[in-house]
This record gives sequence, C-alpha cells and structure tokens, in this order.
Amino acid sequence: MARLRTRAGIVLGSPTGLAAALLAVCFVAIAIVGPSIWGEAAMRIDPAGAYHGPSGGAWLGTDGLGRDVLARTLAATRLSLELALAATAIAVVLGVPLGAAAGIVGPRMQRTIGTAISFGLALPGMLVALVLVTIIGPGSLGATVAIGVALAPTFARTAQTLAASIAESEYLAAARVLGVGRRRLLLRYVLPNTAEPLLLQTGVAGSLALVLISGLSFLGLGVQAPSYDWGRVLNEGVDALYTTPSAALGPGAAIVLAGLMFTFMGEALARSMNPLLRIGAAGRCSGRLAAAAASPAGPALDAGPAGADLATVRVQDLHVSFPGGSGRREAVAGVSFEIRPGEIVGVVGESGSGKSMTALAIAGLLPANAQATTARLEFQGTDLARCSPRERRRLLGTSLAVIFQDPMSSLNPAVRVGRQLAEKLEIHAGMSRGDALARAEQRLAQTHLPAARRRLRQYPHEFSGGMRQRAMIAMGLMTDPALIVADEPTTALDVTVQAQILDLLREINRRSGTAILFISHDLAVVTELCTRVLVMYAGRIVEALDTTALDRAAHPYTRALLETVVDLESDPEQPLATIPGRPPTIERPAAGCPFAPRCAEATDHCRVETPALVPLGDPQHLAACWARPAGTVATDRAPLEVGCE
Amino acid sequence: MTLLLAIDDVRVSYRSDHGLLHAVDGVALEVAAGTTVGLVGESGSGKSTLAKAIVGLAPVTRGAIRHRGVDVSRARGVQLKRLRQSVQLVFQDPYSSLNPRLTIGQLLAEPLIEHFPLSRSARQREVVQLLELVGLSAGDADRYPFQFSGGQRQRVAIARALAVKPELVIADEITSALDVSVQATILNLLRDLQRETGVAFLFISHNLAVVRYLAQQIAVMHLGQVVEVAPAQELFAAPRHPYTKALVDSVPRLHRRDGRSARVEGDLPDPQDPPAGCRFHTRCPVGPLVDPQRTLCLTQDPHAGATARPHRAACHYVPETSEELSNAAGDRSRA
Repeated sequence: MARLRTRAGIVLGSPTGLAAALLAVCFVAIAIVGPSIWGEAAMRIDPAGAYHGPSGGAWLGTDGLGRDVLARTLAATRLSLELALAATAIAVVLGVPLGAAAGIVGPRMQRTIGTAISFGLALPGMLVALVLVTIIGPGSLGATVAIGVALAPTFARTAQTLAASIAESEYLAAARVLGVGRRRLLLRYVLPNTAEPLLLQTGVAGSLALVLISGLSFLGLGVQAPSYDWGRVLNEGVDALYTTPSAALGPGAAIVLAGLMFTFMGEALARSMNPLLRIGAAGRCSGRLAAAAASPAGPALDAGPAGADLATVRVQDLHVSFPGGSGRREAVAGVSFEIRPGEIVGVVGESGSGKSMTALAIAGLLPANAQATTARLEFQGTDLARCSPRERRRLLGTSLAVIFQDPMSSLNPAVRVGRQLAEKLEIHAGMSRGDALARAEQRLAQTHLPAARRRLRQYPHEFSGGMRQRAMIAMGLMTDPALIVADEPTTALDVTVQAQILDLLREINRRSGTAILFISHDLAVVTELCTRVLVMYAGRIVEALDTTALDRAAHPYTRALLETVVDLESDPEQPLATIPGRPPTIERPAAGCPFAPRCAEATDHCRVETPALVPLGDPQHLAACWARPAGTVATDRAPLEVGCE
Repeated sequence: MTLLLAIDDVRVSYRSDHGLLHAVDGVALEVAAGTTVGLVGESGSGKSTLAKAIVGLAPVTRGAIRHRGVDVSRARGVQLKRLRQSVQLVFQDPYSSLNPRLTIGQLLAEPLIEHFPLSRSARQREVVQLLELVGLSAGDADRYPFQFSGGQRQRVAIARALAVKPELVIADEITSALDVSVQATILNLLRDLQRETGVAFLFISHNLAVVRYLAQQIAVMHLGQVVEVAPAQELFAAPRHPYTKALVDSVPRLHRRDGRSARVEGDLPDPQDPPAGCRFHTRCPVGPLVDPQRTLCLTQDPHAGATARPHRAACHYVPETSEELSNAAGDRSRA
C-alpha cells in the first residue's frame, strides 16, 4: 500500500502548486520587509524628477511627484495584500454560514435565504461595492467592507449548493442512523466534503477582491493619500501612460501576479484536501483519441463454424485499451466471435470483464480515450476497420441499434419522443418528416406502447422507465436493423417490467430475424433470452457455448459463476458457493490464464501461459482452459471444486 | 420468540407539488428477534421509505412502530439514540453511504465514540474485531473507502452497523449494486452473522430469489401497501395474491422448463394518485381486466379483510386451491 502523502507534498507536487508556493514566498517576504526598506524612497518627493522614464535610480521611472514607482509598488505590497485578504475573509465569514444554514433549516426559510442569495448574485459586485463605499465613506475600511459584502453572495450560493447535496447524501443519513452528534456531523462530514470547492472559490475570490479594491483605489474611493496601495500607484502612473508607461506597468504586473498567486493557491490547497491524491491513486487521463485501426496481422482465430460468411458481425482479435499509469491498460484483450442472422448472443461477465467495451467497440461508441485494434471487424460482410468513417457511420446508423441500461440518459430530455424517433430516418434515409413520424408511430405500437400516436408528442420525462426502454427499442427499430446491441437493457427495471422487455426482444427477433447482442451480468436473464452465451473474464472470452449446453459448461469460471447465482431453486439451508479471491484489475493483469489465481484446478502451466479459445468435442462449444484441451468432450457438471466460504 | 419490532398501520406521507403523497400507506409487519424478514416489491412500492421510517429518517404520519413494545415512530433525543443503538440500517450503495474523507478505522470508530465510553486502545481493538467479523483484516483500518471494491465496502458498511451491537439490522437492497459472485459472499456473511450474534434482519430487496434464500418470513409490497405476508417456503410454493404470483413468475431462472403463466401488463401506477379499491386492479391478471364481473376490486380495499394469520393476502379473489395448499402447509408446520 502506498504511504500517505503529506498535504505539503501534494501542493508542491503540481506545477500550479509549486508556482503558487514560490509566488507566495516572494510576496510574503516583500510584504514583511517592503515598507521598512522601500518605504522611505517611496515617499521621497522630487518635483524636478517627475515623470521620468526608467533609469538606474528608479527602474520603473517616477510618478507626477517624482517618487520612485518601483519602491512604491514594493512598499504597497503589504497593504494591498492585507486589504484583499481582509475582504475575502469578510466574504467567507458572511457567505459560508448563510449558505450552509440554508442546507439545514426548514423548507420555507430555505426558500427565503435562497431568494436573498439569488438577489445578491444578480447585482454586479462592483456596483454593490460602489454604493456601499459611498454609504460607509471612502477609505481602506470602507472599500474592504464593501468588497467583502459584494463577494459574499457567491460564497453563500456555493455553500448552499454543497450543503444541500451533502444533506441528501447517504453517508450523512448513515451517520445520523448511527447516532453521530450534530457537532461531529458538521466537523467530520459536512466541512471536509465542502472544503475542496470552497478553497478553490476562496482563491478566485482573493484575486477578485484584489482587483476590485485596486479598482476602488484607482477611482479614488479606496485607499486615501498619504496611504497607498497598488490601485493608487496605478492611478498615479496612468496620468503619464504615453510618456512613461512603465509607471503603470509596475503596479499592474504586481496585481496580475498576486491574482495568479491567489488562484493557484486555492487550486493547490483544494487538491491537497482530496484523499485520492493523498494516497497517490488518481490516474491521469491522456485523452488520446480513439482510432479503430486495423493491425496487419493478429493471431487469426476462427471462433465460428462453417457458413460464417453469412455472419451479421464477425470480430477477430479485438483489443480495447485505455491510457494508464505506465503504458496502456487492456480492457479487452483479444476477443473473437461472430453473430449470425437471427441469433441472440448473450455476453456475461462481472463488472470489469470487458463485456460492455466489447459491445461499444462494435457499435463504434468507445469513450474518447479508448483505443481499439482488430484484425477484422466485419459488419454484414463489410470490414469496418477498413472503410471510410463516413461509410462506417452510414452502415452503423442504418443497420445497427443500440440500447443502453439507462433509457433516461440516452433520450434527449428536451425533444419530443416522436421527433427523436423520426430524426434517424430523416438523416439516413432522407424520408420526409410526416412519413418518418408515421413510421415512428408504427414502431412504437410494435413495442406495445399504448396510445402510440399520443406518446409521439410527449417528452421522455412523461414516460415511465419501462416505457422509455420501449421507446429506445422503437427508435432502434426505425431503420429495420440487422443487429441490436443491448447493454444491460433491463438492469434498471423492475422484474415484471424486465419480463415484458425480454418478451419484446424475443418477439422482435422472431418476427424480423434481427440478431441481438445482449450484454448482462445476470446469467439467469441471459439463459432465458439467448441462444448462445459468451462468458467473459478479465477482457477475454473464456467460454462460448449454446445456452442449452450450459449444464455441460467446461470452464471452471463458468461453472463457478453458475454456482454462485441465487435462484428460486437455491437451498436456503446450504451456504452459497463463492469464488475465492478477486478478478485481476486491468491495472494489474495476471500472467497466464487470468482465472488461474482463483481456480482450484490451476497448474503451474496455467500461471505461465494463457490458454486459447478452442473448440471442444462439439464445434459449437469453445473453452479457453488448459484442463480442457481441444477435442475433449464436455461432460455434465461434476461436483464443483470451488470453495465455499 | 420475542417480538422485536411491530409495525402497525403505518403511513408515511410527503408533501409534493400535487398534494400529499403516501409513500407507505397502512403497513403492518412484525419482526421477531433473531429472525430474518424479507421485504420485496418493485421500485416505488415504498419499501425503502418504510426502512427509513423505522430508523426515524422519514416522517410517520399515522400508526405506530413499536420497538419492544415502545412506540418509537416519533422518537426524539435520548429515545431516538437508544433506538438507533438497537436498530441499524445498511444502505444500498456502498459508494455513497461511506464518508469518503474518513478512513475505514475512523468510520467504524464513529458509532463507538457516540455510544460507548471506551478508551482509545479499547476502541482500536473493537474496530479490529469488527473488521475480522466481516472478513476484512486489521490492516484495512488505515485505508480509505475508495481503495476497496464494492463488496468490501458493503462489508465495511455492515461492520459499521454492527458496531453498536444492534438487535435488528435493516438491509436495504445491499446486494443489488454487487456482482453475483460478490453477492453470494455477502449473503453467506449475513447468514453467518445471524448464527454468531443472533441479530435479526429486515432484508429489503427487489430480487425475490435472494430474499427467498435469506428470509423465514416474507412480505410483498405494492404501491405503499403490504399485499401478502407468508412464511418464505409457502409464499413461493403457493402464492395467494396475483401480484405475488406475477412477481414470482417474472423472476428469470437458469432452468426454466415451462412458459410463464401470469404476466403483468404495464407499469406501476402513479403513487401520487393510486387506483381506487384494490390498487393492483389496473394490472391484475385475475381482476376486472380479464373478468368484468369482478367489480368489487374497483371499489373495495381488500386490506379490510386481511387479519394477522401466518399467511395473509389482500385480495378479494384468493384462489381456492392455494388456500387449501397453504392450509396443508400450515398443518405440516404445526405438526
């Protein structure tokens, strides 16, 4: 286990953190010693030397009274930073408790505070500050208080949003059930979880306060002579902007640098609060673009029997990888299979087995930082890896339908369901809006959605979960697809609704011969629906067989998985079978057979060399296991040797 | 057997934009010490709301929740604290129910600090014992939740609930976010814990197979109401309520031999505006949808006739055959 990194280590570990630290050291040092070293030079008036350009004595030139601008800028550091910090502190002290309070009080008070905060946010900060300054009276105190008050609403809003989300969080509810007291709730649960965004905002506010106070001083409403801050020095320098621009640049640069310091500091401190970073576990994303490129020669492996040229989909040696800490991590490591017309192929596996990535790779929907390579990715006879992106889009757009787990997030909430269904045909088939809508109604009716014509005019939020999934299926059916890729389409649904959706998929398959690739973690669902099953483990297919042959499953993982399923036949008197250990993570792939560390039958050979997926006695039944060599006949399930906890 | 928890005609109401919403509406349920009661139902049936109401996280607007005879449905202060030392809740999502800013050791120490005056070293020992009880190791105490898998986090959440030595743990869908192989280990863990500590469980799940495996008594919820309560074996062998029958029939099976019989059409009605009479009549495969003669379902609430028999079903048309079946089963269990 990695050792905890210190907060300071995290701050200094990032470029912004390092920059913030260096800037802070410089500014603090100058602020401390500045007035005593340069204070005298800054006040020395020399009417003869007014508006001089940069010279050996005064590097940034002099102002209208002949004072050294550099000395004045340096000496003004302390006051400028003090005022900015004070204003920020006022904003935090006023804003955060107000906003946080809105998270705990009753609903009516909540609305009142919320409205007040919104009102405060609607007013421009500078305007509020100007009005307040005229009320309080110009000067350092007036300016600081005015800016502090003007910035308070942004803190209040952030704190309110954060407190509201934490108040709803399950961990807070869990703590309350455990009887954790109110003070501890605030100190251990609410504050640490708000620290990150609030620190970030404090940094930004610090820099904003600096600019605003400088602005007030510049206008003559802030710091009054004989005191001076950067805003005043800037004001004095601007009078001769065309002759001695350096006199304005000096204080300007100081404001910019100090502003950067505040922002960077906020960012770095916020990072240091993140426990993920303290453990050094957060990965970096390089964001490399996906490119389904054809590798010239992969290990050619024929996963399918004869008659394969008719396949709807044929995948050969598919690899999907993501950028990782060192090199790339493989989520899918050499998968080959095919789906023939009319087949319903199920892909089962636990989370992280690569089943969804396999489906997404076929649909061309991999995340942007994923990289896919295949020896061959054929869709209805066309090699997708070798055709133009435009042709690929057209082919997938018309012949492939994808259904996801969450139908709410895959439908556009702002567009009527009918429009969304019709759109695909208008784009891909050049159909008129009216014709496309007529087809949409027909397809919705086919998915047994009652009152299809009325439903066309509704928005997705007016549909229930089951109805949305029907709408998604109807959308897929608009172009009469050859293949439906369904990624956990019933996982978010209730059992009664799940049964309806499974019936519907079966009906579509039977009626129009549409092939279905059905991804699920639920073996029982897969065996009910599918004709063929691919079992995935750690990015590989470990077994492929007909559903009817599941009783004769050969691979130890498949057999173990079948044993762990709790169904209505499980004996409540017996403990459930479990699979000892955990699957390898893609960060740490195991050498040899990925299942070997958890397999009771594993030998030394298994731990060194990865077995290939080979047909057993039955050509339809393939397994990747050294204990089941090619050509062996799979037998009925013998008592399992997997451990029981 | 000692009666630990008695829920009597409880209603939980929320104010919404369209008036009052009764998420739980007249539920009666009992949990005996050391047993597991299963609570099944689809999303929106009110099962999670009921769980929250028991531990005081949801407002009870009618009825009583008696913990060892004392009504705790409106408990405050000391009484609430005492209840929470006896009744604990484990949430569905082990990713959101653990404060990401605390280490596992700190998470487990929280309830100990609140409920027991222990020295720091005694507390450490207790934390290690809890970790070992749920199959984790002492070394895990210094790690943060995000360093664990879903199954391990759920073990942490269970350990945290057990820290106060409760008599009853309410498990709200605690295995539904987990993979099947992990689910099996958690279910085994719950069984073992019950044997070792005698803790009772109210096990809430939409997965009937899982509930059947763990529970001795099962209650089926539909739209805020309990429509059937029966001993687990009996509920599956002879379900009496058509909704239960449809639920049982909808469960996907590894070895399905025959087709499905009772299929429920459509989705759950809007809980804001539940159907009059029997709330299931809009989807019921034996109700007025198929038999227009059965107008009773449209007007009469079938709960009125349900009493506290070991097998009770809130349906006007309980089939005779299953009645006999359940009687026979009842005789056998008495014998």
